[in-house]
Amino acid sequence: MTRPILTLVALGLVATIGYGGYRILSEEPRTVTTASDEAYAAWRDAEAERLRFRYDSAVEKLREATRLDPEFAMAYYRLWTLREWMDESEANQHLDTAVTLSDEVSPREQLMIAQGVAIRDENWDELDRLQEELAERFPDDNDVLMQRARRAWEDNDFESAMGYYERVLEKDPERIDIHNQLGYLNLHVGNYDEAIASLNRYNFFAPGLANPHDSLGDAYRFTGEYEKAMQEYATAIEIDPSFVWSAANLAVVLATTGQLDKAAETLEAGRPMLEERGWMNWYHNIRMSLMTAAEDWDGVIQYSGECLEKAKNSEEKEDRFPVPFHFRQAWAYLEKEDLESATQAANVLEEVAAGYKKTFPERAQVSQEFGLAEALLRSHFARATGSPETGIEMLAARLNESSKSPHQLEDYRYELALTYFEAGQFQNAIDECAKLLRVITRHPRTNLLAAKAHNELGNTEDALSHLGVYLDVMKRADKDFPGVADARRLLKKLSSAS
Amino acid sequence: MPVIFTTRNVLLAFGLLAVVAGAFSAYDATRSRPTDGAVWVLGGSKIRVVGTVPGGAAERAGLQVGDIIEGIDQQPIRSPRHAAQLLQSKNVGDEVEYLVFDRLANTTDTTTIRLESTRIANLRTYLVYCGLALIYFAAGLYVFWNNSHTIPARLFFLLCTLFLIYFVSASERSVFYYWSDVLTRNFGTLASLMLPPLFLHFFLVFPQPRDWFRRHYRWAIPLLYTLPLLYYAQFTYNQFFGTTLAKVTVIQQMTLGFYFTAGLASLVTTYVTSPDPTLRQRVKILTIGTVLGTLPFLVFNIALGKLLGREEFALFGAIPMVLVPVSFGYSIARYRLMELEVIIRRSIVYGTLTGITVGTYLVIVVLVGNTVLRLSGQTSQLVAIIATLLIAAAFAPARERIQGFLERQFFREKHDLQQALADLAKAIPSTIEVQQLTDLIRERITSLLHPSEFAFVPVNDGILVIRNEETHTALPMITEMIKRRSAPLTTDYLASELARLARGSMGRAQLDRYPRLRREMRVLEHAGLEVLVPGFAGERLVAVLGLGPKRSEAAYEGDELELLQTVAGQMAVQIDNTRLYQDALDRRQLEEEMAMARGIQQRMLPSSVPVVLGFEIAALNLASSQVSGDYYDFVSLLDGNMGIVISDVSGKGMPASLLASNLQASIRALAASHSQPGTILTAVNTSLYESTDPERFATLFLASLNIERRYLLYSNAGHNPPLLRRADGTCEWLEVGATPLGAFPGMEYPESEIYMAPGEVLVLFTDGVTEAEDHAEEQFGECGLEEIVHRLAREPAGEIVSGIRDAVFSHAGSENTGDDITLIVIRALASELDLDDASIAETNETPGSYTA
Repeated sequence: MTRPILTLVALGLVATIGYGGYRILSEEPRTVTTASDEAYAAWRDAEAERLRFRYDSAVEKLREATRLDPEFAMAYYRLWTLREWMDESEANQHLDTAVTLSDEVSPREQLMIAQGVAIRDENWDELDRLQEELAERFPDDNDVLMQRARRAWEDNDFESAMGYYERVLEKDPERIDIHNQLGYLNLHVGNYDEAIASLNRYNFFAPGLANPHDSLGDAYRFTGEYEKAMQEYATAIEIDPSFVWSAANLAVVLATTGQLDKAAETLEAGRPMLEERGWMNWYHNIRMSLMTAAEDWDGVIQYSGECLEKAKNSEEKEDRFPVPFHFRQAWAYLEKEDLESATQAANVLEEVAAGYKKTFPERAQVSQEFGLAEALLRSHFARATGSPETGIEMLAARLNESSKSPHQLEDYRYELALTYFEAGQFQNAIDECAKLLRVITRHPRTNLLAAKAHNELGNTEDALSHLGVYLDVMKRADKDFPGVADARRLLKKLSSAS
Repeated sequence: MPVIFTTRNVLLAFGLLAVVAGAFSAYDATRSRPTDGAVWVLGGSKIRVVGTVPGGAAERAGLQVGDIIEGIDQQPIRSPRHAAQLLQSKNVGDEVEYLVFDRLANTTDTTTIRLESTRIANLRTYLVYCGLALIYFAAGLYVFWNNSHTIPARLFFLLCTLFLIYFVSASERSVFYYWSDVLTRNFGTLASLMLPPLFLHFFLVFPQPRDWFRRHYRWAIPLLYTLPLLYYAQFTYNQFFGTTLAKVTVIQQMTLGFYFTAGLASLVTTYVTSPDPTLRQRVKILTIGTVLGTLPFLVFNIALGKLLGREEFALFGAIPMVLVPVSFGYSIARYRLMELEVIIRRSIVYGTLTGITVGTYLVIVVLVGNTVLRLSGQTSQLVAIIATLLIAAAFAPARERIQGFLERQFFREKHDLQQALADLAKAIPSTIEVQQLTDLIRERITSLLHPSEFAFVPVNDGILVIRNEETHTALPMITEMIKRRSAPLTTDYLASELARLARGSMGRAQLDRYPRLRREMRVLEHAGLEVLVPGFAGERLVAVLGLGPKRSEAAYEGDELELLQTVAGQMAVQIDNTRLYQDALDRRQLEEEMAMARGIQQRMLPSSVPVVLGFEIAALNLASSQVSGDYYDFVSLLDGNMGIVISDVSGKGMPASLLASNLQASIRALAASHSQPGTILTAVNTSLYESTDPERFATLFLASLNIERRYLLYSNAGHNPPLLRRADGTCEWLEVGATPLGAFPGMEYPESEIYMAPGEVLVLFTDGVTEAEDHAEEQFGECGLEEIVHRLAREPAGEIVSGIRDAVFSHAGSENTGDDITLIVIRALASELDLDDASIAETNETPGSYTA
């Protein structure tokens, strides 16, 4: 009699364990304290909306969560974090309610609410202490990991930053904003395919948002896929006309592809928003890059002078170190072969850069950029003064030392290639061009330079190939764009030669 | 244990569950739910594509094995379950955007998939399978319903039920992520994996068990079932964590195909090589049906379908399978096939339980390991392996305990048989009580050999008798065989004897013996006994141990039968000794009882005979070894006459003595208030009848002697009529009276009066005198009494008493006649002058006196 019972019991045991195990493994642990399943569902919806930048909807969901569970402390805290989308008094009331209810929540939640209070009270020391305590007690908490990721990024430890972000993502796939972070991190370390994959994910999970398209535009811009970049920027602007980043970046790409008029138009259209946000320096820089692309050196010299004048009187401390303006001015003088003025501008640049470094010692990355800019200038100087070799050595050393990603070194590598070319070292010029073109395959001026170098070496086929890329990229360029005319002349010459 | 949990009910419940599962599966197969046509791994947090439905939406969209689905409908996927929920919220025909990571190209891209229906595409073929399933189940149920007490019928029902599940559930499903699909797929796969070993197992023991299988069941059974269960474990693992599509692989299909082929081969071999024509005739249809039904399945479904991927021929293999249940059903109905002696295959249960134990253990280890890793957040493979090993080690003792428990349930303990024998040899002689002895042997043998039945078969008058609830059935033929062989008798041997009788020339004697032996074999089978082990005490068959088949279904091995025989022999000797001991006890008890009864009897008798004027009285009471109820007494009646009583109470021993004592008290009490013997006897009769059992009665002669007038008034209640010798030498027998006292109610006792002239002798006696027998069994009789009384008539009463006594002893040839001898002699004297001291006879063994 026991045998059938044994069999049934064994079968029941297997089924129960299997089902129970499946439920246990598939169940997601709750991260916040609430007695109501409906309130928790509303919380989750609010988080999803928040991560998709739909803050108004997130606020509504959180309010619903507090209605469903009036003792949902973290919902009140989260409402406070979205204070920009409500009255200040309401936001403060929410934080106070969270504090009142904080006795009944987990220690982690208590720390987070306390952080909110520290931020509201601008008690930064207390905030630091709380963040350290949170990191120490809950090293695997998502918010702690996010913090660590940000810090690692600031310290240029991109690999670690990616590691932290990926851990958060694995635990909470709903953190779609992390795909954006990962995209940019991968761009920084030169993993362009990974970057585009991450940004595609971001775009998939956050449909109808401008930011993903803007990010993809950046990725395509950095990899030389200018048509795709322009499409993405245009889509971002279409979705959100106030998305000023896309406007500015679109202007840059347009300039790169020789569509200077359109670039100027786009830039002007975005000017009010830039002004509103206080990003006029960016505007000025792009304006001057358009002039540079048009080889309007006088325009650059004049405009940079005006900007430098304004910068002197700026209330912002940072604005008093306008290194980029000095750079552009010096460069323009060099292009005009006004060595004396260029030298003067370069000296000022050095002083300003030193001053910046002294004033902002923590901003090492920016200082490093200024150093590269100086090297660029010196190299140009070397070319202009007929001793390009000096420039080569210095620039090559700086490039080797730099930890910037390949696309960020675009200008510098091009300058090195150009210096090689002007020094008659055509093969080296071709090699440098190849290094850049490996990353930004369709970089127009590099392709043109490579074509010229190949031409010098008699590599007609290679020269034609590069020329073809250049002309394809520049197919919509303005009629009078300087590089295009140059390229056409070379093409004619090469065609007749072949 | 509630009666509801019988094996029959449990199997029926299993069949019902299978029908419910099959019906659910059929319903589910015809339901329309949205699917993308991709097959995912069910466990983990990522959706890994391990297969696509050929021509399905996923394949058309470009999804490939190895792709990871990262998002569906703009939602990041948290788990396969989450993804299934997302899809379930859609409709058939909806276009859904998928975010797919292509592992080969290392790129992430979006694709749009138009959801299709999960309804089974080829409904017609599926309906054919459902029809087959119903036929199988119906055949199995029919066989089981009519033969549910036989194990082959149960086994066949199990096979047919598994076929039901297999046909209805095992059809290829397009998706696995709906829970109903997961369930159905698992049912079907488990059934398809368990069918082949069950098939092979069945034909290794049916219709005739294979010797090598019986000898090597220990490894053969686990090998049969553990392998398919491991396949299922692998299938389950692949469903949840694998990198390839969870399915029965080609190698596994080949293994399972081998099982089927081997099963067929076993059946065919049995049919071809069996020497028993009866058996061959009975299994012929079954063999042909099974071969014709199974071979196409092997060719079209296994070889072409599974191995070569040509599924279009599957129906050609499935439809002929209907021949299997049909041929089985026919054979069973026609030839009562399930009544053939087969060894019970309960080891299937053992094998299945072992496999389930192993499978459960593996599942627990994996699940606990994953839970631990997940909670600790570890991702390192090394940590995962170490954790799994540690958990496996932690659960190993529990698994071993369960396995040990199963071993003990199904197999005998690993005792040394010699040790067991030695233990029993010590215990048996010290056990005196028969019941205790049988309990001891039952407990030891049951725990050692785990027989399904164990019985002590009684031997009545040298013949075995099988008892069931209602009847006792003697087995003379089997008894004769046992006595002839003096060795354990198995049902196999009986079957061979039966076959021999069947084959031999059917002379008249054979014609009679065959059905008789067959009847007796059926009785044994019905009692569940397989082995009969005789216990002889010397040449005498004392008892037989009956054992059913072992629970493990293994045969009783030689050393086990020797053990049983030794135990049975010891048991027989001990039973004999116990009986002798019991007899001695009974005898002693009887002797003690007799001594007490004798004491009572002696105390009843008068201490001395009365001395009366004109009469000479002598009395004698000689008790035999078996005390009877004889007594005599002299009482004083109301009218002053002397009452003379002689009585013989029925029965022997203490009951007779007590009754006599009671009777004496009654007579004495009534004598004090009555004078008439008839009246006294009437009263005593009524009293005795009401106070005793009908079989208790007493013969009694009561006389009232008027000493002065020499008149004797008497009544005889069924006693030996006293002899009156007249002075002229004639004899009268004083018979007037009625029936013995206590025999019949309401009797009236008539009286008669006689005159005792001087010189007349009245002899009152009990039947111990007249019924004493010589060596030729001739009784002393009344003639003998008359003769001696005649001879001694002029002697004193005491001499007459002694003379009668001596004559009786002389006739019997000994003083121990086997019955009490009680005598009273009353001699009427001529005058007071005849009275002298010498005539006062004191022949009682105990002196006493009577005072009038």
